[in-house]
Amino acid sequence: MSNNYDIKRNLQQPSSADIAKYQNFDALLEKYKAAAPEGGTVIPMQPREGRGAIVRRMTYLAAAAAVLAGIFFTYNWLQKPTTPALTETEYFAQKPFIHSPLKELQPESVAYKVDATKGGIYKMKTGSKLVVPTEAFMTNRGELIEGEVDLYYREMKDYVDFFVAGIPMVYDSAGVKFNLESSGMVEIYAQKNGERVQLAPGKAIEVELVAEIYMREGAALPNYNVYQLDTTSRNWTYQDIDNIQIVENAEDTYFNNNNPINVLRKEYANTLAAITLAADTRLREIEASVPRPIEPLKPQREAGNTPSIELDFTDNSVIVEDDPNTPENENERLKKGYGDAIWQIAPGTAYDEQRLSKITWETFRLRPLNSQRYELTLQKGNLTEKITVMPVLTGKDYDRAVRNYEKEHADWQAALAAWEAQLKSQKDEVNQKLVADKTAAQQAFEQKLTASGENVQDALMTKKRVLNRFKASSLGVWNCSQLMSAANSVLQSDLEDQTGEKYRQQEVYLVNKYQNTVYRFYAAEDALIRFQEGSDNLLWIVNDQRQIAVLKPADFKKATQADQRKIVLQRLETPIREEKDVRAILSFQ
Amino acid sequence: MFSNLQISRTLAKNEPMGVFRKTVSEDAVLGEWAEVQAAQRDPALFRPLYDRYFEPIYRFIFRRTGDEELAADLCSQVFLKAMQKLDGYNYRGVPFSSWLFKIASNEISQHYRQTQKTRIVSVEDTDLTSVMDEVEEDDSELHKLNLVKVLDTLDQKEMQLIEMRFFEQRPFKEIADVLGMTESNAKVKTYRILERLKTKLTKLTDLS
Repeated sequence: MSNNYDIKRNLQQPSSADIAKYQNFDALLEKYKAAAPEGGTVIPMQPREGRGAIVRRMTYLAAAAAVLAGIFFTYNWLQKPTTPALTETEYFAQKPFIHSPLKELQPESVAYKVDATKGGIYKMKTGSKLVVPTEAFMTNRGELIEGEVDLYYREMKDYVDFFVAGIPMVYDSAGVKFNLESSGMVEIYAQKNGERVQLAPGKAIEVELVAEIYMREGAALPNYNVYQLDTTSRNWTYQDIDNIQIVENAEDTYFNNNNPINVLRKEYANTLAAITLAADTRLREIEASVPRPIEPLKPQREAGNTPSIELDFTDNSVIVEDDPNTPENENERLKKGYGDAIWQIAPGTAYDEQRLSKITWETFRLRPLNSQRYELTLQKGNLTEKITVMPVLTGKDYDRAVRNYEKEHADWQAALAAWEAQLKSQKDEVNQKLVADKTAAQQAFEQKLTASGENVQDALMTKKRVLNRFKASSLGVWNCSQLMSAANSVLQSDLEDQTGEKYRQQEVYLVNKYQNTVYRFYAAEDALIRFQEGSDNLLWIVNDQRQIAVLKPADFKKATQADQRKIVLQRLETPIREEKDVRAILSFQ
Repeated sequence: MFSNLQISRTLAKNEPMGVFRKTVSEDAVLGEWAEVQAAQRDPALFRPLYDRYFEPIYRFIFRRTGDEELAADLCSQVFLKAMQKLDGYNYRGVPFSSWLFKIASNEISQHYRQTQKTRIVSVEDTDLTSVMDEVEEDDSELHKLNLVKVLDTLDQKEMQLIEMRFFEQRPFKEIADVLGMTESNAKVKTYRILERLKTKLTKLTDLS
């Protein structure tokens, strides 16, 4: 039977308290008003009467309102030539969703020629990879495309990329706005003969995106999700969980190899690794001290006309490897559940029947792949053959096994629960010690750092190279991100540069050194900047002459500590011709 | 959760009301209609309806998506659309929640159409027992596993009927309104689905 649904048994339901955190009527009402017809006001309904009466009444009211509005705005236009200041929400709502003052500087996408029928694998210099499936593209009219397609790909990895590309980093989740911190972003689009094409239904491009993130030393990798940019709804839409893993420690430009802090950091990392290893070893000892109940194998009936192999376990000529993920002895499990079994070649397995049957194999090795399938390796001298097999039963053996299985399975579940309960208090003790030891190690490390005079925050953060894996089910911008928690500090100040030029009705940008995102604010009169205190922040604007005025971290810190009502940015007159010019200006160093 | 031991065997007769959720009284529906009318005049007065139905709509969506954040997104969309379309809502003698569930159902379908992902169906073991009882089979683990396989063969509308009736214990009147059919139609379709499930289960058990 095909899988039409993903049926989840006994899925844990969220509690009422969990659900309540998403409940926010005020935010919903604001969203409703923002999306309301032009003018932003909702015309109250009249009491229900005849439809014609309502239409006539509305027409008269609308006409009268239009006349009054005309008089009002004419008067105001004569009195005040300038337009009233917009709120931050209004400003961003009327701007194009993707906008940047320096958009022309963003790097070109890399182009690949793709055989639309065959697909292909495309490896980037960055280490990233795209896997394009077969028959992946269709026209906007839904016709499958054959022949060559131009696939365009680019990566955006850090705050300079996001700023230059003008990608918005705000995510509206159920009326609550978050900034997204990215572990890497891609844009993928395709064309045929200059016309944009789409992915065909059911097709997705597999993406492996290499990127770098900052993490606190010793901390667990956060959970990242995958979002797609929806320019129609002007929001990111959540797609899936990001299958992210750390690949290695990336080169850290702040702490080069000559910095003595690196010694302390390595020492701390080694201490954490030793603590974790000791705890894991002790947990395994605890589990091994009482044998884990062996899970019974679910009987499977033989399917007719499928080739099978006979394996004799009684003389120990078959080597059975244990599954490293389960402590049960695989040989014991097989003997108990499938003593009378024949081994059937698993459906979908490619094999050479002649080769299998003609050669007199010398050794047989079984390795479990999952609860029902095994990899059988047959060997004779230098000859090796590997096939996937599954143990099956026939006739009365199967009937007997089914009758026994239900009871054995229930007994096993009870025994497993009892086993876990028996070991729980010992395991809890180990886990508590693990937490305490890690905390003590961190405190000792921080004390050494403080004593060395180095910035503790900088020393605790380490750069990691990560690999994000996800499937892009349509073309566009895809972002691997986690939601940022709200800023912990606010600065309200007038902005001007060193020449005294004031910056009003201006878009302002902010980035925190260890958060891979860009914050955007609108300074109508003064600027209301929300930021994360405790680590370096960089603030800048771009004026009408495409010059950047920047407030470096040290000055930012001074301004916030003194709660200055006027902040002086440094406007750089250096011509900005390329993306690397922007990178040089917007550096934390 | 319902004990379900007294479920009526045939859907042509009246079921014991204690098993499935009672339908809402006409007074309550009328009282709610007054709230809707107030909200049609002033959207800020939509709040009581929002507060009342946020959690049920969220749970409806979560059971069909299995993801808290996605459920929150879709739930927000449902209420936003409800507010935007509220002017077109008229009294129909059913709770306002039926209309919300209909919007939620559409949002979920649209989500799966756009993302091309496999639709999630949440089912408790007691729900499976409830269905097994209806098809007069014992609720052994093997039969439950077979039932899950057989449920996987239902089309979208059929699955919605089974979910709303047996996994969420909704009255037929509410199911009919959400799915856009008459109450008697909902009953007959459900009965036919159960018959087919029973036939398929028997075949599967025989093969075993």
